[in-house]
Amino acid sequence: MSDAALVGQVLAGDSEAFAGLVARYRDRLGRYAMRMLGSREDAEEVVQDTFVRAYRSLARCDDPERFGSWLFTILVNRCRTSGARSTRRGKTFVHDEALALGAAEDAAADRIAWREEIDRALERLDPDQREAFLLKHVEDLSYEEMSEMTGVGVSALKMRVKRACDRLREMLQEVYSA
Amino acid sequence: MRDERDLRDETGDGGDDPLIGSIARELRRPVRLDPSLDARVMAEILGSASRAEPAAEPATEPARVLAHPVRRGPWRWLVEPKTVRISPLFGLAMAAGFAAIMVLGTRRGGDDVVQYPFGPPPSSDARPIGNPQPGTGSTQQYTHFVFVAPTAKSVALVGDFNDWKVNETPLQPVQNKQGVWSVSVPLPPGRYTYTFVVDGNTWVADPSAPPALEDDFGTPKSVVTVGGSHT
Repeated sequence: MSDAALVGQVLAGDSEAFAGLVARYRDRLGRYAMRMLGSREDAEEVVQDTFVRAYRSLARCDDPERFGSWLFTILVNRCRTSGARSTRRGKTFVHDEALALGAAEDAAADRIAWREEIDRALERLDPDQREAFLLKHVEDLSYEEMSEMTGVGVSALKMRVKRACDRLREMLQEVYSA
Repeated sequence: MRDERDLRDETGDGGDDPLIGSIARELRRPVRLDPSLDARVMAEILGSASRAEPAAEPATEPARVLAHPVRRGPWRWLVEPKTVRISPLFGLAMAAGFAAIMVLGTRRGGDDVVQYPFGPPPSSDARPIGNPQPGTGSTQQYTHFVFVAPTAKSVALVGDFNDWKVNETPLQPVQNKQGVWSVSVPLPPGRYTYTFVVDGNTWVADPSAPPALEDDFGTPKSVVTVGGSHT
């Protein structure tokens, strides 16, 4: 069932139909929130908050066909608010993620180490640069989509992405090349 | 989604950098969230759905809605919520004025009155207030019930005091406050069980009031205590 159909059902009074939208978008929202906030606890809180806010304002979704983008906009803003309230804490990825993928022990250890480096580097980016990098290179959005979502102009977003990439290269090139 | 123009037009944004690509691949890997997250979300949603209709709260702060503009009827601008900016000083003045109204509206010796100087609770409110028509000389105490239901066509108050009759005490829409319904009911001191009935058939307890312990028919109910010599 399409997003628009599920949205229609919810607005018609079938609140439980919203569970379909939650299941559909939970992973993507969780991934962005985790990368942006650096804490599983914060990410889960923000994702839950995002879904609840989306439900409560569902009638204001002008284009249900693009519910996902609308939902993501809420998430991006919630992450900004959450990030402003608390500092990133702790490591963000779980040791057993690589193992769960069935990787050999050595490869798993290498992957974990590489992920730790990426996480540290991401944490050291300015929040605006981190946000822009994640939206561009992880969520694979166009600059126009990013601009609509964040309210920031395309030129400014391009500059943020460029600076984020420059910083990440500075911090990770040596590790990557090793 | 990214198109070829982005890749051609951009320099240094990592579009063709293997390092950036490697970083992005790692960051795209799924993350593991608490499996109970979905259930927690739905529990909160369904809990709120039983109290009020959806679309009652703003989505973001500030609101940024990603959508191509959809043309609607010419009256859309009338019903669409608008953002009103007020200065902090004006906000304080409004709060002080409201508090003054609350104080002036209470009965003399009003330690038996519940006051909400900074506005009613989010969704509903049952509070005893003084005589809503000051100067009449009457000692009748009214209890003011407020309920928020933006898409409701009718809201009624039922309780001990009106024999649970749905047609006895309808709430009225509050002027200039879309979705807010209210009624003031004369109640002598005592303890009362009540609930709201939305659109004639949905019983909704007052989420800001204590729930009634007795529940003979499995319907949601709340309790309000009107202070006085009998409590």
